[in-house]
Amino acid sequence: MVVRIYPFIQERLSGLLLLIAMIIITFYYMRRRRLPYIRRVPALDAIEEGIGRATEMGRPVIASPGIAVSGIDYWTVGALGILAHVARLCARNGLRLLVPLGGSEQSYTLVEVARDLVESQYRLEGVPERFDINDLPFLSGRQFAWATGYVGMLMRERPALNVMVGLQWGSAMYIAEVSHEAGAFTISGSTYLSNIACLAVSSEYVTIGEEMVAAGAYLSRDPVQLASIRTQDIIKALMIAILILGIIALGLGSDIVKVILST
Amino acid sequence: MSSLIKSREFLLAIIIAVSFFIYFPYFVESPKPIVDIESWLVTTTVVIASFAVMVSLYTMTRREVMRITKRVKGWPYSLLMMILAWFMIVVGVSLGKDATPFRFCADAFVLPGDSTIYAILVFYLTSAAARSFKVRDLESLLLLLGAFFVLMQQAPLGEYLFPYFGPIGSWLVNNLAMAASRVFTISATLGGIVLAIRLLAGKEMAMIGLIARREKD
Amino acid sequence: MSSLFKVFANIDRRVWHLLTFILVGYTLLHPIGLPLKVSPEVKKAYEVIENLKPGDVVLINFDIAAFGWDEIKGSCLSMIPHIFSREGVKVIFLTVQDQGYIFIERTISQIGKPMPGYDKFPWYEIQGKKYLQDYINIGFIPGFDKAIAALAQDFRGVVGGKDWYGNSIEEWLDKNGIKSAKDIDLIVTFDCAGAQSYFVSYWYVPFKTKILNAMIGVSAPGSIVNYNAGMLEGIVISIRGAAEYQYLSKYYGMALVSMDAFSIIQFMLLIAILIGNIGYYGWERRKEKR
Repeated sequence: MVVRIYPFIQERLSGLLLLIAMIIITFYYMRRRRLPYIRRVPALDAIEEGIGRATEMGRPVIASPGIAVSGIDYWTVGALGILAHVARLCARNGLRLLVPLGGSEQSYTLVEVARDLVESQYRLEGVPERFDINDLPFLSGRQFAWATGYVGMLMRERPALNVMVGLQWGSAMYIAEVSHEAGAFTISGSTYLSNIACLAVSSEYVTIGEEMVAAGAYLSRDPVQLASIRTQDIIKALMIAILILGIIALGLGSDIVKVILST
Repeated sequence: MSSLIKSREFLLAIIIAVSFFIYFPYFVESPKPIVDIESWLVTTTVVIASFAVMVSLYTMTRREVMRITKRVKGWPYSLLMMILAWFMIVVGVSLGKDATPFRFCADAFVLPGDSTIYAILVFYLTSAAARSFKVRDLESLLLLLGAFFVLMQQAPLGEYLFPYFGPIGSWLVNNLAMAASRVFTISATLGGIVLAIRLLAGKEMAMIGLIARREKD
Repeated sequence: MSSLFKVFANIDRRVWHLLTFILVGYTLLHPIGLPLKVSPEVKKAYEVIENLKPGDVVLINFDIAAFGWDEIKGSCLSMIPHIFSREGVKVIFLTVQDQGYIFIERTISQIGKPMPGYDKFPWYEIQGKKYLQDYINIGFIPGFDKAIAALAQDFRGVVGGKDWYGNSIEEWLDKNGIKSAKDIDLIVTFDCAGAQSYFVSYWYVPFKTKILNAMIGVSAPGSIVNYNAGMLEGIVISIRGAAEYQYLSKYYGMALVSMDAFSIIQFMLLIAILIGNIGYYGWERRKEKR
């Protein structure tokens, strides 16, 4: 059975209602005085442990916000939050921070944002003179050329900590292995299913999927980002409930849930 | 005038207007002028994507020229990269993409280089398998068992030796791995929607590039 | 015995790299000829192409960059001749990767030959089908996902009136009734960067256009999701899928030959894991306990 309610286009009304619900929930949490609770992700402790290691060894830190294949998307925003945190800690501890940028055609948009972000963190810590734009090179718009440049930086600079978060594709395994070879403590974030297992075994710490975005929101304490995480959690819970209802309905021989979702 | 164009409100007004013309015709039957504007906006993004390439070219050239003039460590490689990159650009633009020198550079440098780095992955995968795939606890044992069955299902020799590797591996891929993949798809989709909501609300500073200004405020 | 465990635990990675090189190299040069089982997904992809009717318009997308070419060329060099073997089918080549047009031309030069009286691109004929009569090449459209969305929105507007070589294609498009995205009957996308998800979003969802997807191994999980949801008609996964398709379509190639090397490397990975774990339990873990 197909239902169409004029003037809405068929099969899109339920999507519109979901969008409206998300807007309302996001705005509600954005305006609330009390920030939504997000648990602390273990990888954040690992970042601080890595920074401590780098300070003791006197070696630099390398951090990558990913290849941003679709421009500044959801994963990249989370990665930028973590990059800002790493930059702040490096500025505070007098560590050199290297950020290899690039990796895709759309990563050009990320370059200026990431540089702006890192420079801001150095300025906020009161050490703007320590920021060196040459340490945030745009390596290449091609994934494997970027990965080669990243690996070259790892082998030459021998950092004590390698934070590779954001969208990472096939090159992640290669970078993680070379990072280990260079003696770096590796923290990675995997948003790509094919990478999860490989990064989980080759990195010291791994954040899977949304943990990275939640970590970025947790670190920033930005009410907007926290509200977004809370909205998504609510919608996911709603989706699980609809899924269960749909399974029960189908089991009873009714496709009412399917019809409602297809309206 | 320039202060108006640089203002946050102006940028937000553009975002809201563009969002309206994209979202409205998607959900609601709209008059032709609105649908035409939507088409124009979507096709214009193709043009914007092309301009992004030019921005990267400028950024890269500026940085590498500075490295060469200051004789920073590794500057010969920067010089080589600049020569190769600009040679291809000049030849490609002036003689065309089918010109022999351009094709030679692509076939001799660019394509083999890209292929080789991807092929290197298999070597690192093998060394990673020996170094890191260690069974330390129950979760890693389950991971290893899953990897074992999927590897055997993929390899023709595996299915030849024991036919049940196929159904087991397929079940793992089509049920467990697919469920995980769907989770990522749903997360990314919901994340994209909330990111759009943050943009519309004018709260996504990274997108509008106002981080420094916000920090000052 | 403990010295053996110690050796296993401390094998230099270069030893593994050398072993990989030797085994894969040897098996590529001297294939064993192991039997190959065809998976249902590839069979379905084969049947979709086999059932193409005269007048059907097929859009072939080359989302191919250099790094993925060797893995995916087996699919290209078997699926595309199969498409061209179908009577009366019209084909549009395009690419959303900047390097893609090079691989379109490589594919055409390998499966076709110059038309009589011509000696360069685009004037090639493939299985008797001639350029600008039975197929055209639009070439590279920048923007990747935005390009795919734009094509779905305004196909003729984005394509324009000229092909990749500057020849007018307006008449060809009009003659074959291609006015908008709805007129495309089948999309075959060869993916290195996951273009299929955008084709599903912008083409399948609004128009229910059939989509076949051949992809590199790392992109497989995303494609499997869409295939199992019924949004993709068939999938050809990496070099194994290419080998199966070559076997079905009888357009034999390197993918079939590579299957033995493929099997060997899978086994080698398992042996590496086994040796690593023997070394870990026999030496490293005892060292940790001490």
